[in-house]
Amino acid sequence: MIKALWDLTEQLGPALVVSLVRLSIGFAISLMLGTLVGVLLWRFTVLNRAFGPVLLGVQTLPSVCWVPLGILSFGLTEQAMMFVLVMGSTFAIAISMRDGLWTVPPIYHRAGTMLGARGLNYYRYILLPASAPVFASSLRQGFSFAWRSLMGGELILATRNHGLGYLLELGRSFADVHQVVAVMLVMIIVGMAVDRWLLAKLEQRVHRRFGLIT
Amino acid sequence: MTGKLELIGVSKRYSVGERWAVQDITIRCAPGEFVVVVGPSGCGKSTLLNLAAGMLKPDQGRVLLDDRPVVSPGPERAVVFQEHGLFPWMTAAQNVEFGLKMKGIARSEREDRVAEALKMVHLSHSANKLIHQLSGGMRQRVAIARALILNPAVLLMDEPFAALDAQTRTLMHEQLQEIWDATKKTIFFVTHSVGEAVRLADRVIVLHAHPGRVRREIRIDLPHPRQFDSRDIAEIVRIVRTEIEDEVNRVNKELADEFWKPRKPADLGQLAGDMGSGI
Repeated sequence: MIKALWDLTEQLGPALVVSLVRLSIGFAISLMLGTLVGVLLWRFTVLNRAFGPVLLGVQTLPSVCWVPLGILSFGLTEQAMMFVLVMGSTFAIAISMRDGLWTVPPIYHRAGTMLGARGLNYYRYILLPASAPVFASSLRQGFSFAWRSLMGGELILATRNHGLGYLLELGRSFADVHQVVAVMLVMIIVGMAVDRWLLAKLEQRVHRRFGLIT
Repeated sequence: MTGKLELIGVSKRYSVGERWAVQDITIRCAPGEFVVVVGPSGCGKSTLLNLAAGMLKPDQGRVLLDDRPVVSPGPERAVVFQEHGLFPWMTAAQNVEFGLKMKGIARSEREDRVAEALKMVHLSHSANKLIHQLSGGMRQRVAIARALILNPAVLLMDEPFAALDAQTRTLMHEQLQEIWDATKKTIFFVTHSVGEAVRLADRVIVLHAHPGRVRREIRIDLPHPRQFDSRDIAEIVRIVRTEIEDEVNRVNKELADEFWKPRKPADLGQLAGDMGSGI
């Protein structure tokens, strides 16, 4: 096992970089989109009535199921990869954002308008910070979906740059169990590391600020 | 002098066909007057305050501030909420500053005024603390500073001290009187505590529940600041309390006729004796 990891380091390094770059770009896009969709659903009840249930349905679709559509729309390209990642995580972020906004205590709205925060000022100074604890949680959830989708996409989609998923698939092709398990381990470790050392820390900081934990 | 708050023949119900939460209530607060509305829970006192704040619109009647109609919440009618409503992501000073920031006042002036407002509520030392680091009484003082800094025409207070312990509440009463004396603001204050009402008010308005109407108005001509345990206060408290007890009994009877019969004390005693046996 360890030997397999050692033998792989040459390929693993670049593949890890490729995957992480993809993740950063794709996750940023789906964060923006998901937040936007979440806020719209929260703000406009009609939209939520119309699309809320659909969104939940789409969310239950495994993210690799977006791969065929991605290939047909974008070919075997980076865009197709991004498509899979974004579709796989945006809705999870949107749903948790919307649900979170519902739990923002109405007193902040009353206090905010009383103090003269209207329009954009209200969103910027009241709603955005008030939803920070929720946003931090949706970040964590969104990340796990994004990472999963990307690995699935890389496994199936063969593009010019090789990510971790491709190495996994390569291991299968050569019937190399050691490589397969080694790559899986790396995937798990990346997922854990980002969650624990980045996102969970961020969430903790926000919660501490709000006095939700001491 | 500004600060004339008038509710004229206001009625409000939350949905058509339901009873009126408040019905045909007229209350006029003169500039600088301290008016306290007191009544049992569910009598519509919070509704009344929300109408004055512009958070609710009356179905009938008008709400006027200095002869201009009130249409929306705004800084000239600052509210101190029961659950303080401070923003936990800001420090105490930032909370106090927020209203001025929304008004577009320059930073240097803001800083001076924040310092002054915090001094007024004796919280200069806690300016940079986060809200969850403050005690209940301190939070309400920040909320009061946040309201006062806007230099509102009236201060609306919705059971602001209800969640505090008795000692802190007494302290808050003293400080509020001090502030009122210094600023001469019109204060419209809502509470269920008779003692609090009588101690603070120039005029106490006792509400009648289901539907909410004015049951009695009592002017209190005792000089401020008042001693809570003075005989005059105790006498007026007794009068107001009788009114309220009548009211509570009437409401309970009404409810009881519909679906609940109160048990006799003896029954309750037996119940208490049984508590936990047979577990």
